[in-house]
Amino acid sequence: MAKVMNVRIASAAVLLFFFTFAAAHAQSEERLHALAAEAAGSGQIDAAFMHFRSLLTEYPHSKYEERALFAMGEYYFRAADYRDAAQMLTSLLEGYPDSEGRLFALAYLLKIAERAGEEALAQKLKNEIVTLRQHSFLFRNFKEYKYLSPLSRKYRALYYIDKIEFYVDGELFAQISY
Amino acid sequence: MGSSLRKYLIKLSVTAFTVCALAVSIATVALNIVFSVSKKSVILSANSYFSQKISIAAMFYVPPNYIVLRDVSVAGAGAPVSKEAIVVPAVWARCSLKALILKRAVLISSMSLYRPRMNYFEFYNFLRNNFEQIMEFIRNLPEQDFRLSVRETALDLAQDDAKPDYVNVNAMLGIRRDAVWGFASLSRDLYSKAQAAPRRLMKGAPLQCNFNGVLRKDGFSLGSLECMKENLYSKLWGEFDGNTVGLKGFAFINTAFEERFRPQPAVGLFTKISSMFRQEPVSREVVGLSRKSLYLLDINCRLTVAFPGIQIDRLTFSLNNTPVSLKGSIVLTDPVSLELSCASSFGSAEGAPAENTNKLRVELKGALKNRTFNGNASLNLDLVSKKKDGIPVQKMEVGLKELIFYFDEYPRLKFRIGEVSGFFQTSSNEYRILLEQANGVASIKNEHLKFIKFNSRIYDGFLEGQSRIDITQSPVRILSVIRVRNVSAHRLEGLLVHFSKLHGRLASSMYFSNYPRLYLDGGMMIHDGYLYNFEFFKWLADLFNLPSLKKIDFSRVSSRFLVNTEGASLYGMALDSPDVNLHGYFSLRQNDLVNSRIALSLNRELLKQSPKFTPLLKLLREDSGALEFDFRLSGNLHGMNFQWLQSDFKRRLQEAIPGFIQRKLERGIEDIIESISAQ
Repeated sequence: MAKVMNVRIASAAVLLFFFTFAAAHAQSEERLHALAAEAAGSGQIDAAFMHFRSLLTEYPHSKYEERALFAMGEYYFRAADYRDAAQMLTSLLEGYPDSEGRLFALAYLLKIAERAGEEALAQKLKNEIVTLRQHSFLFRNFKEYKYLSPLSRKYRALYYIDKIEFYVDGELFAQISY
Repeated sequence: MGSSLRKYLIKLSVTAFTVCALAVSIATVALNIVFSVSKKSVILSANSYFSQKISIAAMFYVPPNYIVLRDVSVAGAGAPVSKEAIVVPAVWARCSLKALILKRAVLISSMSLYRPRMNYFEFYNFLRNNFEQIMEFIRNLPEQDFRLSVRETALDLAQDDAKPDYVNVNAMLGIRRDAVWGFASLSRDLYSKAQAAPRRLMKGAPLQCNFNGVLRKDGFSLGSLECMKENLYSKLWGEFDGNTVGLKGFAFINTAFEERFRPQPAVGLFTKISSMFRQEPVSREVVGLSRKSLYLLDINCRLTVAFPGIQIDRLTFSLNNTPVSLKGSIVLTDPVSLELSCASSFGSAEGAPAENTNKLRVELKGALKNRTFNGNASLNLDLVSKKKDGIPVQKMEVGLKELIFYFDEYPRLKFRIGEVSGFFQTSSNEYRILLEQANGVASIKNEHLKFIKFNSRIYDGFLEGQSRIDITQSPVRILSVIRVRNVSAHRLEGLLVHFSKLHGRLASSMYFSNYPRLYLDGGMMIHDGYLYNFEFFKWLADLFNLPSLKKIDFSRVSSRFLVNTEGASLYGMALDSPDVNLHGYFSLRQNDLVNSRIALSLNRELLKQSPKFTPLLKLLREDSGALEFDFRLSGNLHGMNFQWLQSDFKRRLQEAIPGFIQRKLERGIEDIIESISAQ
């Protein structure tokens, strides 16, 4: 009798899991993005990544694709999966040339190219970052660009007359001198 | 009895010997009389056959079967006629005695020419003028074995009245049935030129050639033609089929070879005679080719010979693994006409797609006469693959019009070029230059170092310079010094577009070297000119409402410049003008990245003209006669970043205006800069 009860409980658990997963799977892109943003805001980076991944898989051309690509790119970079990171960030740059995160996506790709020893590609990316924006410093000494990533990380780029510094959550991430 | 028999036999032998000797003497005398009488008719017959006058000093018979000709000479083709093209002191011809006596025919089985002297150009003229006759003579030769040897020929390469320059030639040609073989040994010896008859002082390294082949009814099959020298080994083989020649082969050449001479040994008669039959031993270097530096492999050529024309249908080979192909035609008339086109693809990995290779094309069209080439030439270079630290040029086109190249003073080569046009393209810019009336002298006598001096018109000015080229190094090392004088600066806009805004007479000196690093370093100066609508000053003029900045008269503009594989830079820039002074540097690196720092000084009187500046003038120190305006430029050339560097005036200005005004000004300047960049 106890055995039969155990089997029933196990079956119910499996069904519950199945229906929960299926319900989540069937959620709208807005809902998935909201879940991802919520997870990112509460510091649950892995969960945020899973939601952005579902968003990309389920809604490949959704209005959140740009944010999802950046999120996955930065997540893969954090996980030292540079190949997938480069793939996501390249898709972002190709699909969204005016993306708000373009500057930082380029910085990620630069770091990946430097790690891979791809000197020519790194030089090309440096050149693109340097020439991305034109500045004049009449009274100030630098110009700052900020970006809050989909994984709720704070990005900052400081353009000086002869160098660019990139910060992620206040830590120096990359520097380009020219 | 025995004694009388012996006496009888001796007497008989003496009598027989005497009779024989008498008979031989009579025959010799008789034949020599015949030859003496026939000499004139032989000369007449030869002269009717060939277009140039042939003379024979003596012709006689030497037992048992030799005919000897003394002092045979062929007169030169041009004036003066007295000049001899070929002189042969002795010709020994071996003939069939049986045919001579019974058939009264001279059937020559071998011929040796001793110590001939000939001028190369006269000899070439003789061959060219009598080509058909010589071919007919060869065709009419009786089908029999034959051997021809030439010993100790002094071939003079000097032209006209130049000092003699001899090449010693020994050669042999043998024909037995269908088989043909031969060898030749050539050495550039040093001769005493003080005497009328050349006397060899030193022997040069010999170039030895051997060949063998088979005569066919419709042509000739070349089994092999091998040429060897201390710095050379080559082998060719192929077919001569009617008018078509097909050859294949290879060659190794050591270009760093230095010609060595060894003293002519004082030898006795026996050694002298034996040396005539001995080939010079070839240096061991030939076998190993330890220092070879040029490899010509896979030579494959097909020529169509229709004298005097030679059509090069195809000539392909790989030069140090770089494929080269050549097509064209040569017409051996007077002048010799040339039309050649050479193409090569290089600098790519084997099997790389054709679009990923560098391409070189050289075309040459003109005529060659009296060792002078007259025509046009062009060179096109498309550089696709780029090496790190390589020349940042993607395309190069050089055109040479009215090119005259003089070889008559070889190894001193002179050239004159009516027009030299150059076009160079980098990833971001195009450069053009035109030189006219160019003259130059190249001295290539030295084995290692070649020198070139040149001068030309450059627009309305002059250019002169000299180069030193070290060919023994790899890559070839070039060092050049070039000076430009008195040229209108604005006419150099093809080299740099900014020159179009710069007026005045320019003078410049520059140094070029390609090793250990590629660079062009120099300086330039322009006196008493003006800047008109120079982009930067035009911007300042618009910004501060100072129209006089659109045209700035100056007493002197000068700058040093440096171009290398990392980029181009102007440093030590100085503009001296009553209203404006400018000093600083401007460097342009790869990918058009700029790094510049400029100190600009604007005269207080000039600033008073600006309604925008008038209120700011009170911020200037009373004792300061000018506004110092130091700034830096960076970023992309076509969208430069700008920073106004700290100065006393800037500090006073910052103190005088509130922060929000500063930010407004900042945005305003940014908009203006962006609008200028967009142009």
